[in-house]
Amino acid sequence: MTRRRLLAAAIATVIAAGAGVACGGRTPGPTDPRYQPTANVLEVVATLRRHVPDDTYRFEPARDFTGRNVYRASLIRLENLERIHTDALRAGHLDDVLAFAKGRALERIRAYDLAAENYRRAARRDGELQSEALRSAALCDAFGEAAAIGYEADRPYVDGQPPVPPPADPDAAIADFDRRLALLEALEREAAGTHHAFLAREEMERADRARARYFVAIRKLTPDGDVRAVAELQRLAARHKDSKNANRHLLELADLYAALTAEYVESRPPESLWFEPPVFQDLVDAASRLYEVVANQDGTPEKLEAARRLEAFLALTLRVDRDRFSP
Amino acid sequence: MPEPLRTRRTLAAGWRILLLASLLGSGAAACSSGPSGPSRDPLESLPMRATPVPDEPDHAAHDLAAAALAGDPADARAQQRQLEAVERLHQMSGALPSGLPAYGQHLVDATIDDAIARRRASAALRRSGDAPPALRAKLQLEIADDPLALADTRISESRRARFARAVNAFSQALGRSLTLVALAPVRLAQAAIGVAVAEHIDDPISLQERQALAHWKKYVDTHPGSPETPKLLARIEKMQRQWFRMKRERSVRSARSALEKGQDELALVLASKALLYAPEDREASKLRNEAERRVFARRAARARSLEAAPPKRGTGEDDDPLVAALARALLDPQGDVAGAARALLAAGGSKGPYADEARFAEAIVAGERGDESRMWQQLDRLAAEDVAERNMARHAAQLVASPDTNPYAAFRKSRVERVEKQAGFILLGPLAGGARDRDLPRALEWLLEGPALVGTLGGIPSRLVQSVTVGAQPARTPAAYAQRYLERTPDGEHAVELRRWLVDYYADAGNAVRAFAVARSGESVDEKRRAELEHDATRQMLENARKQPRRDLRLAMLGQIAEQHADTAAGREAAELAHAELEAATAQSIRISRGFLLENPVVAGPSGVGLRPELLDDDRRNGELHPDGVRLLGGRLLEFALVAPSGRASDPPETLVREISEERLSRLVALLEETATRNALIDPDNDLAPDARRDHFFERAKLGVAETPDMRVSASSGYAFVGMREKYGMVRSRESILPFELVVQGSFPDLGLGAFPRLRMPKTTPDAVLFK
Repeated sequence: MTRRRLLAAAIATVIAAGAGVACGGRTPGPTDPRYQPTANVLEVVATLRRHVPDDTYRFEPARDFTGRNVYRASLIRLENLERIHTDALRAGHLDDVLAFAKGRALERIRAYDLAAENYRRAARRDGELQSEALRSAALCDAFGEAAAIGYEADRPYVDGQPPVPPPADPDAAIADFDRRLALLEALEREAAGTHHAFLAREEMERADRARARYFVAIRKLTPDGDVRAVAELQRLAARHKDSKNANRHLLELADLYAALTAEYVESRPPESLWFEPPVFQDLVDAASRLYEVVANQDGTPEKLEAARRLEAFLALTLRVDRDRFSP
Repeated sequence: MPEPLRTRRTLAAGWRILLLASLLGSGAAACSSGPSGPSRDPLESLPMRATPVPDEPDHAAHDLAAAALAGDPADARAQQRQLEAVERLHQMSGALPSGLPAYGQHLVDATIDDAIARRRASAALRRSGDAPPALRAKLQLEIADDPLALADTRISESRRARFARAVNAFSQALGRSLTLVALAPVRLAQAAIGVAVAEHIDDPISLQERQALAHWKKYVDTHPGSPETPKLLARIEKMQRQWFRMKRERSVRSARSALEKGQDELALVLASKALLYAPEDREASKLRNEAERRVFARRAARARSLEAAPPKRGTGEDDDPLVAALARALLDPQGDVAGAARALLAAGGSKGPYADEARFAEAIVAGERGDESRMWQQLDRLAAEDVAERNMARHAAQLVASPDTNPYAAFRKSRVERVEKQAGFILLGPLAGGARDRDLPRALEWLLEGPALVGTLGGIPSRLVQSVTVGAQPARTPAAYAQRYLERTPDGEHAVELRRWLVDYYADAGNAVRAFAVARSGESVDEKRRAELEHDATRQMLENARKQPRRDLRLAMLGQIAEQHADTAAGREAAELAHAELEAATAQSIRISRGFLLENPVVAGPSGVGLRPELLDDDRRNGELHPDGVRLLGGRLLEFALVAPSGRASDPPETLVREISEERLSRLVALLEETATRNALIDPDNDLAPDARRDHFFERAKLGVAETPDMRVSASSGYAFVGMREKYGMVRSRESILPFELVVQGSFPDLGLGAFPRLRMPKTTPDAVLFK
């Protein structure tokens, strides 16, 4: 074998070895013991309990070892346990535990009616969980009632329930949202010191967001609709500065400014006599500033989103002559 | 009749226009209170002008314009001939040249529909030598806007860039070996490898070639019947194929890299994208299949973990009352979890079937009691156990490893990683992260780094010195985790430690504002240190406010500092600054410097500002315009900066505000704009920087609607028209016309010194960003 062939063979071997390491290094094996099925009820309950006190208003809900929302994953595991262990659980000695745990999981994913139903099932059995189950059921009923108040264009449709019709006018919408907030504020006071207070705050945030989105949706129908929509999104961002969604609210406001900018360019082309550079500048400044605020938040996924959206937004300004807009 | 005038030291804000009007209305009497020099009216009265009577060339130009606008090219050409004849007669009668025929010819050329013919006509006019300099510059721009010529230029730039890269690599290798000739073969070999690798990594189509492709497409669209079109279509097709090949290669390269990093979902998307460009591509298919296999395997594993294991029959585990008791205790907010867990452990032993659930429960209640250390110790131990035997080990491991649930461990880990990274950089420099990615097999990439290894190791002392003198990169990741810990547990076991660390970190990173905010959020920092931090923070806030270009935001920032830190020096200064700014605020602040007026006397003269000539004659006795010159304040107000009575230009100027007539304002801005545009056409260094706010104000002034100042901050311009000498000094630096530059380069690692010529790389065009 010539020297050149030897060298080629050596390099090929090294490359093959390298490629093998590169391709095979991270493949999850089919028998990875981490992903073994749930062993028992206690495993799920212990994991769930760890995250029941979590402040899901301020922080993202925890994820389990598979990367799933821990409440949803717990619910699915509990249901699978009930199904697979039917015989073992037939005696009913864990009925209250299973129902109560499912209630805890369901309320965190906003299935208040099902959560209340499970709590009531748990309360059928006398014992230490009964009073807490009844209290939680009542709270979930109230949360469900509050969540149904007011118009939300993107509220999921529930079979058998007629959708909430749009309000007759903005005043009626505000009256509905005020009623919803009043109920939630009362619930927050009632639930003070428990994790249900966080749920109340999440629901209040949702109510504020629904109200802001209502005004964003109808902004073209009223003369001051754009101003009102901006004011409502600013209100949302200001009232929920501590929320886990604070960056999202800012992004939503920035998006509205960006939309207003694009609409301004469409309705008053830069070359036309109607185009006013100061108005355009104000809109661009507002959108850019908000995107930059979010893009400067280290360690958040919104950082990337805001940076890319800012880039895309600034590309819009390339369409405008430099004598009408100079960044 | 003289116009009203008043001495001004601090003029009220623009929105106090009524107050100003009343001051202005108080008449010229106030003028006498000023210093003797500048107290005179700086403006000359507008000259009386007789209505000019149009002469023969004017009439001929009118007829030509009418013919061109009417869309009759034949008539326009006839009128142009008429204009030229009239101009000859006009000059024969002893009149000065009107300069109209060249512009007339340009107008006639503009009636040609075919862009190619139009550009040829412009080139002919330019060559004729009849066009004045500004028109010639304009013609040059039109001639240059030729898609075919632009495409040829881009193609040539692409070749030049490739050639220059290779030549420069060898030139540098030779030049750096002048003092160490023995290293020349190694460096030449490195250069050869570098060039070969660069050629390998190069996209099949360069950025400049893609720009050329766009120009060709534009040409074909606009000139479908041109004789060049069929040839161009073939080139477009070829280039388009290369472009698809580039998209495919980029996607495949990224997919391969993602797969190596375990980013299987990303690899799947990228490999699928590559297949869109090259549907039958074997490598892309292989990558996609592998990524798909891994993604499906992971999804299946994750789905499996949601299922329930079958009950262990006959063990009696399922109806163990102690298990139910612990479950109830865990769910009951008042439940005795620790007691129930202990009971379960005692019954089953540490190896019992529910021992890990009981230990997990014990750990979490320890955490809820505030005993963080105990909780994490227990969870650490559990996480380290065999997950095949201990089902809770995976949950414990998740809690331990997640920066959200365990930010303190993430903080410590990231600090260690940072130190390791720093040490890696000192030892291995650019190779600390492994061999550089060259889209080659990894082993080969390492082989190619071989020659650089000696230099890399030789650079250890210099990198050590660099790390000591310059300092390490800011510890942003540990800071983010420390912040996260404090957000979640502001009174946690490690809160004091982390708060102090964050204060020092932000203070060292020069972010005094954040340092003070962290110090204020807890009791970890003593009063003295906190006062120091507040001092630094307010100073920094003041600096930031000063740098803010928008007046409304700047005033808001100053107001905030003055209000929230009223008892600090910076707070008081902010209040003064805000007050002064409010006092001096004007709707516009467009400046025409003395230098600009001297270089462009037409703007200073009666057709422009109408400045008295003695203000620019360098004789201090009759008053002199300060280098700051004249400012347009918005509305019809002009501010004149006059040299102070001391006669020193370095002293703050005396200012005079003058309201001018609508006619003078519109004439001034039109002339200013015209002059600056002409200057920019004649001399590219004398450009008129874009400023929409300035142009907006000028537009209003020309239309005669600038009477009421536009007080919106976004309508305010601070543009300055300055002279070339002010911009560039006495001697303007010029870019060398040579195609290469001489480089002298020193190297710390081998203490070598080299000198070599380097070919200039072609500059990218401003629209290059649209092709990246």
